[in-house]
Amino acid sequence: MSAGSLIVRSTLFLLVAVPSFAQVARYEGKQIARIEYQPSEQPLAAADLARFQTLSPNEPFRASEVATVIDALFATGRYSDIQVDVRPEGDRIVVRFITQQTDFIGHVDVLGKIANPPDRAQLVSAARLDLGAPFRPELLDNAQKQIEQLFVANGLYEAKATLDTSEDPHTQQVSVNLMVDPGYRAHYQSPAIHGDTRLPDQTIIKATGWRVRFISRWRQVTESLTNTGIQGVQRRYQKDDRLTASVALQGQDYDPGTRRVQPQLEIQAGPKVQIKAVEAKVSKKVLQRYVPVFQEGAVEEDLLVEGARNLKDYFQSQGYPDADVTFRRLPVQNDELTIEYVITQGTRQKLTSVAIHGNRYFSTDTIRERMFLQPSSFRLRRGRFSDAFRRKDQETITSLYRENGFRDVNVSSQVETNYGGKSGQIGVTITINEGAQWTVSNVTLEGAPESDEQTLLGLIASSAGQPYSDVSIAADRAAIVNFYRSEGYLNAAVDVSPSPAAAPQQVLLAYRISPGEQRFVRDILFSGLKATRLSYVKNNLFMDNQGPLSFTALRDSQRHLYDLGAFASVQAAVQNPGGTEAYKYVLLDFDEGRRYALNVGVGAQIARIGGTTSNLTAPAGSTGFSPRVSIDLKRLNQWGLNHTIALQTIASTIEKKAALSYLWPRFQNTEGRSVTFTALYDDSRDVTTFSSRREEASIQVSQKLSKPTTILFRYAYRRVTTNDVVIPALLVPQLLQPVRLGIVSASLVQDRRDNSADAHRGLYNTLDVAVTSKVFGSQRSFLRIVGKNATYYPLTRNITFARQTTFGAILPFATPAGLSETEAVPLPERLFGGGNVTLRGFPENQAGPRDLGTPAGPGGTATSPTGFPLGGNALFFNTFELRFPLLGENINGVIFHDMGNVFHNLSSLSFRVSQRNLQDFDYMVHAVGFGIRYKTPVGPIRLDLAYSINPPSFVGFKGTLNELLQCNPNIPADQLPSACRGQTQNISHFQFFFSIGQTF
Amino acid sequence: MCRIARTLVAALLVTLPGSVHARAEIVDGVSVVIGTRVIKQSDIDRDIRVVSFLNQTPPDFSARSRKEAASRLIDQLLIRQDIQSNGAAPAALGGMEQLLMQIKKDRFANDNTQYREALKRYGLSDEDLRSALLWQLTVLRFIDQRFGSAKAVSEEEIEQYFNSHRAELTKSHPAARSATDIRPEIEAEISGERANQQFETWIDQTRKDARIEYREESLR
Repeated sequence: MSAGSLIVRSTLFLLVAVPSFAQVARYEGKQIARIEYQPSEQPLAAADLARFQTLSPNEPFRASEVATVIDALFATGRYSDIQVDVRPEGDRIVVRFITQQTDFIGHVDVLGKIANPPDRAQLVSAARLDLGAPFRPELLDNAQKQIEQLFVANGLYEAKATLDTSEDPHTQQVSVNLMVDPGYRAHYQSPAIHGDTRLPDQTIIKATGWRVRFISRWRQVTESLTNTGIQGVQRRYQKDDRLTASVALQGQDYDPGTRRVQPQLEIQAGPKVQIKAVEAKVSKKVLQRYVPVFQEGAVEEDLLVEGARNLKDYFQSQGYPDADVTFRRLPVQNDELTIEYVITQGTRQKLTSVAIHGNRYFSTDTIRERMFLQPSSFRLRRGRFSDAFRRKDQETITSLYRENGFRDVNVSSQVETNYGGKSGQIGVTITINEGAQWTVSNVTLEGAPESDEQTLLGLIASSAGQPYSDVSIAADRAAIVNFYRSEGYLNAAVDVSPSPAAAPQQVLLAYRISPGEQRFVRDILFSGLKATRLSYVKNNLFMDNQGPLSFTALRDSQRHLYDLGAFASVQAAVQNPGGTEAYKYVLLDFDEGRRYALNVGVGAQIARIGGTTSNLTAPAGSTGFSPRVSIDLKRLNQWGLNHTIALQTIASTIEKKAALSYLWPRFQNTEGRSVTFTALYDDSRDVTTFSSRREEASIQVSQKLSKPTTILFRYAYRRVTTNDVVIPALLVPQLLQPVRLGIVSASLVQDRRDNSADAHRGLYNTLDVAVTSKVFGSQRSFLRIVGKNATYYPLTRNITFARQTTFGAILPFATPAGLSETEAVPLPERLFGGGNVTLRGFPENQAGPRDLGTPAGPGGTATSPTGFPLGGNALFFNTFELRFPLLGENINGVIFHDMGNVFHNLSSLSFRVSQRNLQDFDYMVHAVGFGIRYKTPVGPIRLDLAYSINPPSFVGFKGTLNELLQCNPNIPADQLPSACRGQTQNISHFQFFFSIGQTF
Repeated sequence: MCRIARTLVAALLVTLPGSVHARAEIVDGVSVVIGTRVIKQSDIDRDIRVVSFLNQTPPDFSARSRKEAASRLIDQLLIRQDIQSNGAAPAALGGMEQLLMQIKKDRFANDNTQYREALKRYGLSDEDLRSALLWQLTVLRFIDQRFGSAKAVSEEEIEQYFNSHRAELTKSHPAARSATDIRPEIEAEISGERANQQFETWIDQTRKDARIEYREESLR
């Protein structure tokens, strides 16, 4: 190296390296002319930028200040690079911040054919692109990898996925489009099974469920089926008592030539595990329930110890308070590992007394209702006692007192054997030493603005004179924090310092509040909306632009939007959540649900639906079969406003129905209010006597008054036609003419049941009042009231007592000339009853008055009686049911008593139990019976067998319609064909019903 | 010589715009990004100056030196994050004052004027140096508390260490005839090595877990 080049290099070193300090030092203290930003549109809100920029024009330049600003700007999370340069301008300098912004993840859309599984949601989830999180290009590579893995797990080995992005420079949101082409789905083939299996390969393959039974065809690969298959093998080993068996999927080999996947299974069967109880009799079911080895599939020490503890509690709860349980593990012999639980039961005892002493502040009943220990009673023959329960009760009582200011409370218990001098009886005495009650002397709030004080004092439970307890303080702290967080103070904190007051047992409470910095909504950004109107979404938000940022409001908005039913998913997030800026974008990302929903159903009804117009031999109905097809088509989210147009059609041999409805939810933007317009055509024959046709238009307004209570107002204009009437008396033209009815009705529904499909507690009330009158365009006038009250009482965890009473009445008024009060009500509008949901002593709609051969018109001669039901103007039904477990988890039993009937009118309603004569139907029919309920996800499948104690007898006709028409009432009886003479018939004592859902 | 002159002129032309203020000059900016935290050019400059001051060497602002400083600062930032997340307290101010007094005494004979002039030469303020010293002590305490092994050093380890470092140990402790003679010193050495090893493993893993982005232009 020459001397010259050395000099040059040294010079260059000095010239290049040293200026970094020299340059900055040169500007130190110079006056700033102005501050510029490149690009001029910065990602921060103007208010935030002004807050973080501490350099000011006309102030001296400080390099340390520049560093502070860079740190502050970068901490906002909205910048990926910041450089600051300076240029002279006259005597002053211009400072420029050259920035690059951070992008954030926005909407992720899936385009192309989606071969479910994986469905759209699974694909989006697999991409792991979290809404509002900072976007980095490498996230796309990771997303692609994850999606490809998801495809492979679902047998889509030839699937292709590509991702592209588009950016909104104003909001820094990056939308991601995921384009998928799933290709063909592979099928399974016989798995390769390795390890010590102890089962034939065929048994293992059968347990996987990967091959269709009987036809031996291999199924298509899905992740869910693969997992189910592995679990199936595991269960198969458990069935053989091999509780420690391990079944692992080592891999799946794909053959592209045949498009088949061979799973590689590694199995270690392990020994058979026998868990026995010695020195006491314990069923296998009880062992399986209380020894967690069976649930966990592992024989570990801690699980065995837990099993011993559970069994001890079990025996104590069964009346063995001195029960002791230990276990021992025997060496493996003949492929069998035996665990023996050694149970020393001790003497069986009955808890006859639970005495509570020393309580003054709380009543004994208040304490008892919180306790597990219970003395023997009708429900609990031996009472409920165990050491664990006793300890738990002591803790519960202690907590109860502490929560109410008794900080020094002491609760002890004593168990007395041979209680009352009788062996086998025990008594427990709970002794409470309450101590003094501490109360709050005064409450002060520090750190809160004065304007908030009254609000905060209203929120907190602690106040002067109130009991002092940690629970109340924790609740107060949570209430204050929630208040500030809902106002955008996301890091609000409260410190509570209690100190003794001057008076004894009194405490001064000081709440020190640190609200922290307030955050605001910069803007709400919506993504994923295609058909739904933005205005509709905005109307359903609980937060405003520029308002305080509250996560509570954000979560409520998200939940509310999802509950509207227009979206398959609603995601809510804050853009750049960890950033320090005060004004933040709130993101709402939607996945709109399907626009159309089509349901097609094919089925059949099997019931007592007999009684045709050509055969009148079964006025009480006979078992019939009716095939049925239903098609429902819905257009969802109509106009982008979440309105629904629905067409429902049913076609069967006994019913033809079409209903077109338009549902407008959240009418007038009111929560819980909806309006429904309906046009209906219904031609049905659900009563054996006649068929009816209804053409109806209606409007209904529904308003939810509270969570359990809804009120409905309805106006219906209907044209009712009675067809296929089997009774000559009703063939009077006036009665067969179509009748127009204008009905105004109101319904109140109160539903406090725990589960509407299978209630165990709560109540269900309905009251429906309807008026038809000329005023409403009606040709007939009557008032109809139907009320129902049902209550449910849990007797034990599994046994429920349920009851229901139904009352209904029709009161005609302004009766047209020539018609009786009964005739004034069109046949299809009368009250009918009997059957599986009202009174199981009758077939469907067979209760109440029947045709006695009514005179055809005033003064006319009575026709032959047919015995067909005619309905009535009053009804009363009462049902008692006892619901209990019968077999396993899924089969329950019911015993019931039903009583009631349909009556001619309100004045003829009677609680009489016997039928006076063959023309008397106004009495209470009683039925008792037994039912079985099989639990399914759509509610229980129900089979009821009823025995009617006092079913009605009546005179009925047996013959065809033509034969009936030959029975001229003007011909003397002895000259009439023999078929015209009515025959005494009766409703069968035995009835059976098969349906879905509980009776009520 | 003519060639040298031409090269000099060329070099001056290259750097001239920066030195005669004709154009805007970068005065600070982001050099390294670690999550939502940054190491700035000014941080690197300050670190180089502090290290040079303490080592009594001229400050080296070459690209290599800047990268080394950036690497040191990355480690420090990761340590700082760990300290903050675990709520560890900084070192006591007293320790820092003691260390500073020692520097003043050793290098400037307790002459504050000399001390301030030296600082000025390195482009540092008294506060810069105090912060740096306090931070160094905090880091040392962090390593000691976080990685100082509670595990006792066995006799076998002490013997093994003595045998493998016999030459150095007998040189530094001439009176030592066996491991037992200098047992506390060897124990401290082994514990220190263990702590260092654990610290190295931890910092390597933390660096791998952290998302570190370099702005190469600003490190040249």
